[in-house]
Amino acid sequence: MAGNKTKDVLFNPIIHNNPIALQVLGICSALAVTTRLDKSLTMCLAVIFVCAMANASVALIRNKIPNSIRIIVQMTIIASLVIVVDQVLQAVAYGLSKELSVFVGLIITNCIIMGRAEGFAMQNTVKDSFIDGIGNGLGYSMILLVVGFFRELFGSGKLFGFTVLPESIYQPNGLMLLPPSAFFIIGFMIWAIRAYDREQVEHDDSGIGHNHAH
Amino acid sequence: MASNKNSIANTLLISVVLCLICASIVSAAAVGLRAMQDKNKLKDRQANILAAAGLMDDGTDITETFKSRIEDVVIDLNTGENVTAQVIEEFSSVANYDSIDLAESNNDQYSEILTDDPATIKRRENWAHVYIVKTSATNAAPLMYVFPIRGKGLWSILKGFIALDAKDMDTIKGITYYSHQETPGLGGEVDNPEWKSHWVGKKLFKDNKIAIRLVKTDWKSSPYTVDALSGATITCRGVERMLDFWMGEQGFEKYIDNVKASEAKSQASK
Repeated sequence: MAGNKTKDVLFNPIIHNNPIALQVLGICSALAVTTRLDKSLTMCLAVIFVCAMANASVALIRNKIPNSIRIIVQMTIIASLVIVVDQVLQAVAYGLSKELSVFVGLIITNCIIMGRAEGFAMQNTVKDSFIDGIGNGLGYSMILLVVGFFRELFGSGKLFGFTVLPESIYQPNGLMLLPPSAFFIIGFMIWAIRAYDREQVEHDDSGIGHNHAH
Repeated sequence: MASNKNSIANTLLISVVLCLICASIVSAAAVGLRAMQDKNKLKDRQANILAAAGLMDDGTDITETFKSRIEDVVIDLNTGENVTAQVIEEFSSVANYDSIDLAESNNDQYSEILTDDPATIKRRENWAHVYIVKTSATNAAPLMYVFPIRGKGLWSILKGFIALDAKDMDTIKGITYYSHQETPGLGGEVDNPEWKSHWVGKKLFKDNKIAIRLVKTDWKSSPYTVDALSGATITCRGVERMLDFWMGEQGFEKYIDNVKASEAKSQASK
């Protein structure tokens, strides 16, 4: 049973409870860093690391955190981890860190990480929280890598910087490098995921589109 | 235990301990990685100098090309004289002399407070680097002069380089920015290769006054206009003002005059 739970905690966020596709969190960075796969991958690794470590640290001290300052405590932990990641990137991958510019720093405000720390790590053990962090990081990464794959392939005919579709056979589509294309791709992905897992379809209670003839 | 957790004493204790732990982790990362970061920054600056001079391609060996093609000299901005020998004496090498860092750290000996400050940089170093691009690895005759420029945009100080043709000290050969925090997509477009390419071949001076301007319409027809960036009025104004400043009399003007004079002299003696 315990093994099953760990597996659920790890893999649920990838399809069944994906932070971007189902909860529609963390969209901002998904638009900004997915023009190239190497940028997407770096961002994914950074988010997985921060999410897992933040979750584990919050879970470790969850019984000690006073209620009145719990959000600030979580923010402090997340912000410190993000600064460490930023410093490491500047030291080992300076070019990439320059291109990711503010978006590494903006991991601090990524709702996924804050949401997991407050929603999961405050009630669960260190081990489960760590795995949940990795799972949610992977869920975020899955979307980013798919979006990055399509945007780089159709936007510049390359994958990881290597030309796959030379300009003689494919004219790169500049729209794919602009933020709206990420919206389109994420939209199609949400459609595909909800077609596969019908439970995720939301009931329409907005009233829009219904024309009741009362 | 549960009520104790929320007591004021415990709240204070937890926040102090947490801050100390987080601060030490962040400081350790910053200090421990400083050397590697500095090395990357130096390389990035060299790459930008080469890029301003149009010497950067995908496979260029930055360190090697910089060594063989660039002569790094230091000049006195007030007199326009070369003070490289003095810098080597005081800082042991030209590369060790970080003029911008000295100005930004309010060093009174090597920088001065500006009263007339169009670029909004508050302080200007007394001595500045100039990077002379040699014609080839074996021919030391200057091909271009690359000048460091900096000034305030909307959010931040933009730092970059502008390369001038050695023949007339007027024609722009390239411009790059290696450090800025402008809004991505708007002011951040100063990094856009397409926009940077608009500068190549433009002229800086008209009747010995700085004439180059960023305009909204018809920038192609005049040698003194470059396309302004949409949605980045203040960044563009910053770019104009930093050129006014650094190419003007508080900047490299005297040095440029000296170079022109010595060029004219050597032409006459031939």
